[in-house]
Amino acid sequence: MSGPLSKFRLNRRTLLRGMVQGAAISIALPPLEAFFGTTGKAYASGEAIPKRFGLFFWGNGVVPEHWVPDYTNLTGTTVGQGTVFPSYALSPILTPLEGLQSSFSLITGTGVKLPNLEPHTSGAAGILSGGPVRRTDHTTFLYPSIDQVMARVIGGQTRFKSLEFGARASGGQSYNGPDDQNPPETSPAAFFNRLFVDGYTPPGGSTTPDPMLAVRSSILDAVKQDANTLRQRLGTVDRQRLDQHLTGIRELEMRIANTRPPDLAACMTPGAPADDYPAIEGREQVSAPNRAFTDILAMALACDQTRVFSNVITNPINNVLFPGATAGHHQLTHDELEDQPMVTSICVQLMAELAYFIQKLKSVPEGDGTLLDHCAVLCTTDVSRGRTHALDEFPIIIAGTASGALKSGILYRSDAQENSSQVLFSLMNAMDIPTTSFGYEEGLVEKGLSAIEA
Amino acid sequence: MRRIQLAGCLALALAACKPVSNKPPMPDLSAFAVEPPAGALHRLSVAQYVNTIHDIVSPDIIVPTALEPDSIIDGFASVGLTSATISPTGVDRYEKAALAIAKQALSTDARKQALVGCQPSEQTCLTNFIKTFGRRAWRRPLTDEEVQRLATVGTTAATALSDPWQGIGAVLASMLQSPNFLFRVELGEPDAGGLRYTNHEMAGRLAAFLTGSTPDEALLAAADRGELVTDAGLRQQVRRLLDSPASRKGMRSFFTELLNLKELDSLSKDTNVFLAMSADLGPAAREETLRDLENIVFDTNADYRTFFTGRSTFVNRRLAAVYDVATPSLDGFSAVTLPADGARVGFLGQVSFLALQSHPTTTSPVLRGKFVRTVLLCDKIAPPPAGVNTGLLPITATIRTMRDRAQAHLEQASYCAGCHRMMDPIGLGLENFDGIGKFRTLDNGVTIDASGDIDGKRYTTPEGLAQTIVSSPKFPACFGRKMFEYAAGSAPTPAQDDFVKALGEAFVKTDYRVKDMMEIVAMSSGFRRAGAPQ
Repeated sequence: MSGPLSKFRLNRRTLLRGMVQGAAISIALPPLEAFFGTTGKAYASGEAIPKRFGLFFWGNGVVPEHWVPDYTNLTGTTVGQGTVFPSYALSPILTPLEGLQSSFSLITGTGVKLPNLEPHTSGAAGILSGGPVRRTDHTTFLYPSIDQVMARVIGGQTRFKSLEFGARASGGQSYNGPDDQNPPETSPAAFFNRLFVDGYTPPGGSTTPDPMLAVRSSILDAVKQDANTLRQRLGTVDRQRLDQHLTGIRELEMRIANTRPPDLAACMTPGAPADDYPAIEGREQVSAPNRAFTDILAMALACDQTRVFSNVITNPINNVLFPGATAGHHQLTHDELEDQPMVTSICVQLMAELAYFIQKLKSVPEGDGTLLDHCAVLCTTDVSRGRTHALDEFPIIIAGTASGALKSGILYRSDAQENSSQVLFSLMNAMDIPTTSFGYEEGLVEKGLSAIEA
Repeated sequence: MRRIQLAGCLALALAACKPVSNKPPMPDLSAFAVEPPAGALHRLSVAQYVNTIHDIVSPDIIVPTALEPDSIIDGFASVGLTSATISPTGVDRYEKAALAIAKQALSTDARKQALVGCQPSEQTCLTNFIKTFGRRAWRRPLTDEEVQRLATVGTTAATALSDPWQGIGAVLASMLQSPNFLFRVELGEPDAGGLRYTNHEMAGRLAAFLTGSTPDEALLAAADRGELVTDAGLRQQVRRLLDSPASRKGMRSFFTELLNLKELDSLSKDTNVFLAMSADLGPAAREETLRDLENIVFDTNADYRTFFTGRSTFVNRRLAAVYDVATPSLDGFSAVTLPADGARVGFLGQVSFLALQSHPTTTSPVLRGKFVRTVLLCDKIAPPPAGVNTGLLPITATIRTMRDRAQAHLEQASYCAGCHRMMDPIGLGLENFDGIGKFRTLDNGVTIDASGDIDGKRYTTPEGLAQTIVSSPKFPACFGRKMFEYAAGSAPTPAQDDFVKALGEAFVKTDYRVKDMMEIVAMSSGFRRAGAPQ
């Protein structure tokens, strides 16, 4: 994949090499700056700091009355079909984000408009792909999730096109298409090995190619020929399946070819995580492995090993026994009475994980800002109210501004119950992937949410 | 065999004795008219991948299991893998696994000799290895073009790494990443106006179904000789496999999928509520169930209904504590007979069912009932409508037990009642067993009422429930259907209704013998004929 942006980057690098021949670079390049934005988004090497897109996802929704901040007495500005509140008091579930309000936008009042055919999956498909599910024994998204839509455009230049992981991710939420998911890593140790041990050259490491790389390439070349020979004998459906396999092989070939050590100021090899995070008194751990994942991810981004990620901390319908809970999460969302204090406390625990994540990305300096500044992270879940599987009042937070393309610090209230797909539309544009529409069927929109765009 | 039987007869009253030849002939569905499932690529499951490596490389290889995860459709990985693809992450994992296996396979001189048997510095050694090992890995002889392609990989690697053994390793790693290994390619060949699976495709199908692995040398040799497309040749191989220890692995694979036993690895239970819960309880419970089945299916060739109604099982210390029986031995598993006057009988009294089909802190009559309906009786249960609150009603002064709550729900939510009337009575019949399967008589201080009905047939105890289930005409029909679904890797469509019905009838004719049923399915037209690939 080589869009206009990637071509441009190549030219720029070539140009810089020619101009300064490896000397320390601090010169500004005004004409190019204009292309990347005006806030000095460049590494010390002068190469533009890339934008990253990610997903921070948890299962089973929220308790909306404890999620949406009280905006009734606030002064806001009408923008489009909603109101922007520049300051607001955090709701009970959002209290762990105290002090971080300037780093994210909170979007309330929008809804997934697709038919709620399959509790928990319809909402996830709606908010992540803008499309419906196919309801079978094995319910699946019909269309790729937004992380993969983005990865197809911006994922081609890094060692990993995208990374999928999560402490309790189960099958994950990253879809290439129907019945075609990217399985998440659920072990931080395996995630660490994949990123920073196997085939990774640390900064300053040897640039002499390992002869094994050539052997692996020749093996994959033979595998590709096997697949192509087999392909000719297949029907349409099996041919598509094999084509997926071939796509994966080509991506691995690129990964093998692209093992140059990263040359980025903030890039360091993170510490190895624990081998295992065993259950404590029958309760599976969520926080400790999630934080281990977060620490590894931060360096994977800082070292530009990927630009797209999907972190599914807990999956929809998960029945994790959270600390302090008397039943599994999913069971509680349905069984707990009235205003659900225990479900609320689980949501608070999940938001503490979001707070850790935001702080971690903010702690990595990049250019004249932080790693978080160059990210757009969609933080959401599969339903709004777990108890009823409702899809209106969908919980959405956007952390980071995609290098200034998005606003942060605001509370947006949709007064017209706008389509949640509009958020996805805005995210595409913020990531410099111009689009004229996003989504399918009732999830199709032809505009974004102008109030969250900078 | 026959002589022993006769001697036994003579010792008894001769008149009452039936000679063994009077046993009705095994039902034969090899010519049953059927519109078979389409030929397709079947991806190896994680378990099949591991078993295959152990069989074709060496049983002591440590096979990485972080591979592309199985995809489950209709409860079966075998069905899911008929439509599953390989993701980019999966390609990574298969590469890593193949390189790790190749490294181990060539890690000592003894292993090198066992695998290759010649010196790769000799010119013909590499090609011979490609042909012999390739035939095992890809379940068929390789074409000249394929041999040549792999030889190039081998010589390239041997040169680049200055070691002819590395050439062998690269060839091995290449074969294990090929779609010809990762998928069983089963597309069929023209025969009698339709398609049948070829000799080598049949070898792969039989091995996957009956052994959970890949064809052994004898099976491939039979395929080479063209015997697996004939009734006699196929029957001979089926019986050989069913009489070999490998078929126990195959039987275990089938029931692990059918009964969802893999999930027991991640059993989540609150240890403050369930004091007998421990991290190794789930895997122990699975082993109990599989040993019980091995005993019924192979050791005693007993009636499958006793799996549900019998009181013999196998326990280790963990399970003995849950079942409240004396521990026969301190280590490992031992056979026990549960008390004849106890409520616990059969599989529905085992932890592997009771704990898995429960919530982390409570029982779930709905999950237990749904399992019996969908897995044992093949009834269809629609998922709850979207947007309804699927929560249980709260405990109050008058609504105290799980039964009270289920009943109140039926009265309040009439649109849910249709399905819940099918599921709840079954689960409520097992309320004497808590969320991990320990026996109890009280629920919230109230004596448990374990009565109920299935399709109008009443029961009052868990044993009565088990008898009602196995007496249902749906029970054998469902088993025949499930076994075919697993073997074919395809959920039966209405076009296969008559065939599936005949399988159920055949199961009854065998007096519910699972081993016979494996033979009937393997010999059947539905398993041997292919629909046009889609």
